[in-house]
Amino acid sequence: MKQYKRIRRSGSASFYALIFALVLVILSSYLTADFYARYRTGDTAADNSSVASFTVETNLQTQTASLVLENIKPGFEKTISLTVTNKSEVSISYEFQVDFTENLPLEFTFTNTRAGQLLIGMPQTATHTLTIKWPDDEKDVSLTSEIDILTISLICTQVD
Amino acid sequence: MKKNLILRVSVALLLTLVLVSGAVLSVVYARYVSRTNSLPTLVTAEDFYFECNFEHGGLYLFPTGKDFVFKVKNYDALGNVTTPDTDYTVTLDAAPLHTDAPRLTGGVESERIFTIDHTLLTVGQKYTVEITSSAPYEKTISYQIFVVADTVENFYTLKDCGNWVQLDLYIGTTPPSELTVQYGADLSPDNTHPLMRAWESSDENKTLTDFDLHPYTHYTLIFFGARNVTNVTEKTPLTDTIILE
Repeated sequence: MKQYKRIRRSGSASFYALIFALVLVILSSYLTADFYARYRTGDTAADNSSVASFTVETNLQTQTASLVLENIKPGFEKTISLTVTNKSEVSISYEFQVDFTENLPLEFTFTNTRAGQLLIGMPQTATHTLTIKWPDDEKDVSLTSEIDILTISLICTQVD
Repeated sequence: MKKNLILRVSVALLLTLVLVSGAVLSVVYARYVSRTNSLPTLVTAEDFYFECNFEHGGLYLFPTGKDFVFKVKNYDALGNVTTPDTDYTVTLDAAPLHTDAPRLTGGVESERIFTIDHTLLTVGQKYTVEITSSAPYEKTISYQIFVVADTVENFYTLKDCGNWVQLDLYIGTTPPSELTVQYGADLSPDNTHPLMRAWESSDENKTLTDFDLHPYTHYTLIFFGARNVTNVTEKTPLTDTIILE
């Protein structure tokens, strides 16, 4: 009876070890799939299968590089034109995002929307106009000599 | 025994199924996502200099029978100037002191002198002067004047303190229209004092006007440097020049 119990305990331990190993293998393969994910190019397969390309172009960085917002005052207004071109083999949705520290009472307005979709097909370009404004009635003297940091981002996501 | 085995196998299969389906779903729902950031742009606000020769929040005694004169300007003692034009209003007890729309031209040192006629000021009365800019920024300089009938002369004292020289000015009823202080290149004026903010050793002498010196006010001016000066401890009537020697 005692020997039977030992055998039973030993069998149970092996079983749990097996389950643990199985879970570990699945989990590690699941994680390493992310670690080693890479785009690959080249036609090595006989059936010419390939990964859909994802290329989105924007004038965001060139437009903001020439953006001068020094020594501005209440009533200041500046408009810039931002473009998005989808050259991917997939449709995309996109959104412009504006981040600033809010030290200055700046308002950011897109004349149309700040987001949109560009469907697959011929290269398409969407143009958005961003207006940066310091309202004329926000002119407390405490704002003088204040500084702010402005960053504009374009976030693109593939759409099925 | 058999029941336990079935339970274990079921749990193991279920766990495996969940992990496998999670791995499959992560592939099925994979999306291209990109984010393009602009380089951070520095945004700076315009500086603003809008001052009066009387300070905000002050209460100033003023002799009866004299016109009250003050200056509004768009620059500070260090020569910093407001770049845009400055629009503003001036009132005495809420009544406007001008009929036009005052404006200080931006980019250059601009100022305007306002005069309150002595007939408008009564002994024993307190009046509020308020100067408010409306553009480019809103700033208010407000102070009070209290009209008195006392007549006091102007005096000064001079003291050698070893490593510095102390000049005390006792301004009475009528400040001198001009007062020149000759201190020489070996003494360094205390730039923390509002009257001497832009004074330098190399200037050797500087002149104060009645816009700088207010009636019934005591000023202590410090000049750093070890120079042997003759102490003037008794209050001595003020002339148009003081030489620190």
